[in-house]
Amino acid sequence: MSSLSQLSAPQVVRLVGHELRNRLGVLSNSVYYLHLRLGDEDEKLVRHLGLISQEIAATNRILANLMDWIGPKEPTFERLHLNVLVEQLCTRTQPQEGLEITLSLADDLPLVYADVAQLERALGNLLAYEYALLHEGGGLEVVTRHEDGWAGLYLRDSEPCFTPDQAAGLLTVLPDDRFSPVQLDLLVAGSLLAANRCRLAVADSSDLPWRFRILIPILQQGLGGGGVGQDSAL
Amino acid sequence: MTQPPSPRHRLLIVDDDEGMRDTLVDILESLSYIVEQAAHGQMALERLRAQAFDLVLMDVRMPVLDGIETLRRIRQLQPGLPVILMSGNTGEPSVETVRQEATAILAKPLDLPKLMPLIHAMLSACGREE
Repeated sequence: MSSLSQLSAPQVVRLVGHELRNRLGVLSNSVYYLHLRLGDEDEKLVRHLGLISQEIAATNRILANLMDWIGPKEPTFERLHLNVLVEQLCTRTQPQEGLEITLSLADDLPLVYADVAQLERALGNLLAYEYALLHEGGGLEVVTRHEDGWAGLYLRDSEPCFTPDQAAGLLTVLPDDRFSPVQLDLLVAGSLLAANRCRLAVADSSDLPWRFRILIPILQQGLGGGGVGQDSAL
Repeated sequence: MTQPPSPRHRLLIVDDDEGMRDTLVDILESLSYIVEQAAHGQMALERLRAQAFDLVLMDVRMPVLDGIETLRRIRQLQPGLPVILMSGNTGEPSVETVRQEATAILAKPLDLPKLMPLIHAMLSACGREE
């Protein structure tokens, strides 16, 4: 048995992260119980229970990102429908008022080959980043298209393009003066996509008609598995 | 969010985390289930030998006897009993080894608005509706 000081930083993060998630799970259960008992009559109570749930969810997200950042799990590749995943994500994640999302999804998109949970987390993190960027409202377009061995997914928005300097550090560096959850969202999205042999690019010029481009391998590439994999429900 | 009153089914919650057990018991009792609890797999097996349950909701990581081995032993005792496993890491290899034996495997943190209808549906599907 090791003492805490003998463990590496990632081991400590994993252990503490697991325990914190358990504690948050209990808090979440308590909120659910209170909601069951109190009902919806008192608007302020409902609002405060909602706030607690939101904060629990935000904290869970930071913990999940931290644990993925110190070392994502080995992906379990399977076939999945990218368009279905995108539609489900956009439905489930609720953008703030004033933000309009448009989906332009290709009809001819082949199945992609990735770990469904990891791809979902990575794309969810990119959407969360976009929602934060567009916190004052605007438009976000999510586009998929089939291109030469890949399924391309593009995020376009109404905010100004990053400068080359901003774009260069975005996927590699956490600011050292303050913790930024959305920056961690991006770093983890990048590492999860890399683990799934996807390519993530950030536009550094307004000549590019997108902010993020994600290329996801389509099934024919095989990835050493000869294209044999489990079928996801997606 | 509120479920219709269920028949008096008997559920067993197995988790080493007292806070998790207590909150799940309160939630399920408020939905009219009869709920008992156990802090680890060995205790759960003793409870199952002593009386009949309609469904088991069990954590994977526990001291004394973990959820994986407990599930295997439950299957020898009562092959048809619905058992829902809960795990913070549903993709880990040990969980994969019992994917066929478990009635369902849920990720922690639990999504309670989905769990409650799932329990109700499992009890119906297994003919445990009264």
